[in-house]
Formats: sequence, C-alpha cells, structure tokens
Amino acid sequence: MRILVVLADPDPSGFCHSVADRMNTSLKARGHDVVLRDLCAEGFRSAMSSDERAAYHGDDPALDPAVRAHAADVASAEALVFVYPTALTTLPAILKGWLERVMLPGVAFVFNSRHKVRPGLTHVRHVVGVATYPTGRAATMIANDNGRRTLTRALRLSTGLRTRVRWLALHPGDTATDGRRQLALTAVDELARRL
Amino acid sequence: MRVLVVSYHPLEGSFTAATTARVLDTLARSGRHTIRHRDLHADGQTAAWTTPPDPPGSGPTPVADLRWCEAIVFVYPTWWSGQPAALTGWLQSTLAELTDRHDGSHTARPLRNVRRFAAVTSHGSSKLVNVAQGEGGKRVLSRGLRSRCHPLARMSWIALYGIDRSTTRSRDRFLDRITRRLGSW
Repeated sequence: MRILVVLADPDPSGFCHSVADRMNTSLKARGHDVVLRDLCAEGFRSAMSSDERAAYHGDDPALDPAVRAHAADVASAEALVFVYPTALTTLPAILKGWLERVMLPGVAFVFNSRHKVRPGLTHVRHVVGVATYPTGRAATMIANDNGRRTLTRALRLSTGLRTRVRWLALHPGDTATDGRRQLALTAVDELARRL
Repeated sequence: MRVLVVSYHPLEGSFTAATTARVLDTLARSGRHTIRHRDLHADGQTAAWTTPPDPPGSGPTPVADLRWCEAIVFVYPTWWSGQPAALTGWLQSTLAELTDRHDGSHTARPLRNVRRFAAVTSHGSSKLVNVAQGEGGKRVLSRGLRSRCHPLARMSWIALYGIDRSTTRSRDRFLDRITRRLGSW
C-alpha cells in the first residue's frame, strides 16, 4: 500500500520524530511503499500567499512546486498518517498550513454546481494519527481535541466516511520515562501492523 | 477598554477586510476604547512555530500587544474548520513565549489581563457541516484560549455560515450583526 506519513514537529528533539521514524521503518518492514514528509525540516511555508488565495478557485491552484509535490504524494496515497504535537488544543500551525495549501480544490475536494463540497480523496482508505498532548486525557477531552477533529472529521468529509480512522493519543504520562516511550513506540508498531 | 484587533486574510478585497473595517469602525464609534490593530498578513506573519524576535524599534511585539490589551477581537476566515495557519501560528508562538517563565517554570494563565474576546469569522459551509466537523475553530478559542485568560473571561462568537452561497443582503445583515454585538462593548 502507498502511505504518506506527514510529520509536523517544530521541536527537533521532540518525541514525534522518534514516532515518525518508527512508523516509517515499521511500515517499510511490512512491504509498504512509504513517503515520509518532515514539514519543519523541509521548511514548508504554512501561510497561504496572496497569489495562492487568488488562484484557489481557479483551474490551477497549486502554484508552489513544493505544494505540487505534496499534492502528488496525497493523490497516490492509500493511507495518510499524521504525527504531531498538540499546541493550544489543536494542530501545530505548520500542519494546519499544510492542509490549507496542499488539500486544494481538485486535490482534496471538488465544488459541485451548487457550490457544495464533494469528496476528492476517496482513494484514501485509512487516516491514522499519532498525537502527543501537553495535557492529560480529561483536559484533552474537555478542550475538544481539535487537532483530532480536524483530521478525523473535517478531512474525513473529503475522504468519505468509509475511510478507517485509527488514533494513538500520547499524553504526558505515556512519554514520561524511557520505558514508557518504548511502550509508546511498540504501540506505533501495532498501528503499522494493522494497516 | 484596551482592545486588540487581530485580523488575517491574504487578499485585500476580501469579505474579511470588510468585516475588519466594520469591527474597527464599531469600536471607534463607541468612544470608550483604545484600539490597536494588527493585520497578520500585512505584518508578514509566516506562521512558523516561533517567530524571530522583532528588531528593536519596530514597535510593540505580539507578546507586548497581548500583555497590553483587556479585550481581543479576532477577524479571520474559517479554513478547514479552524483558524488559518497564520493566525494559529501567531497564537501558538506568542502564547508559548508568554507561558514560559525565565526561570523555566510555566504560568497556567498568561493572559489574566484579558477579560473579553470575540471571534468574527466566515465559514464556507453551513453550521450543520461545521458541527459535523467538530467545531474545531470555535473550541480552540472558547476552550483553549479562554483557559489562558482571566477565569471570568467571556467569548462572543460572531460567525457567518455558508458564505459560498451568501447574497449581498445576507452579508450586509452580518455586518450589522457585528455592529450590534460589538457596539455594546
């Protein structure tokens, strides 16, 4: 299966880097065709430019070559895997920017004649998320876990509801010690095994 | 009140530009406020996780703005069910800077000075679709941001849904709604 792993961790020493590496090796070991995209290492620009916004509803909204490359990865992917640390209850800005700039009309969705959004990612059969949280389970739930909602609900309107969602939430207790972090990486292996 | 208006849209002729103008006009007319306006697109916010420190003499930093204000109005288009990345990045980086104390400890409520804030935003899709999406944008502010403000801080949600199928009349009504809601501040 062709799988796109999107890593968005602005902290170079962050645990999400270990998670993405483990996901990458684990998926490859199972014979999957994996593309790992580290947005921060690539220096992916998160804010949409004026030109990009102006071209958004046009015939060719992907102006930036980097965006076109990402869009091609998305177009051929059967599974999307997101790895990110939660900030202010939601996705890090760079990952939100990736959604806005790469998941364009024609890539992620199309507008029908009545200006309604119709799914464009029906080839994506799995959406997987591994997120770390600065707060415990209860506080994350109260805050609505907006990053997860964005990827498993807003994005899932583009993939179609038949797409399977798997989520691994890592709260502070899950990454507190070396032993716990090893356990967390084992859970990542398990996620990879189920894909 | 000292009101900070934070607006974002990459295009000059956008509806968000019109709502920003209405917000500023409404607040100025009441005569009770001192207003500071930050346009994140004009300021070149690239929504990196951490913004480089502003060069000396370039005026108040985002951190200084947030320390100064008693109320905030966010004006932005809702994209992918939430705040655009530029605004998300501005919030995340300034809050991270405000939260970390110099001695390495953290403060839970770095924005205790903020007692009121509002979101003025437009959605392409309907309210129903946004609810199905989990209302991420609304909750980032009403739960995430509010938990960093004064314990009694109140939020006003002033949202236009279905802008893709709106008419001049419905947009005008929305602008009047802004005047009504913010006129009482």
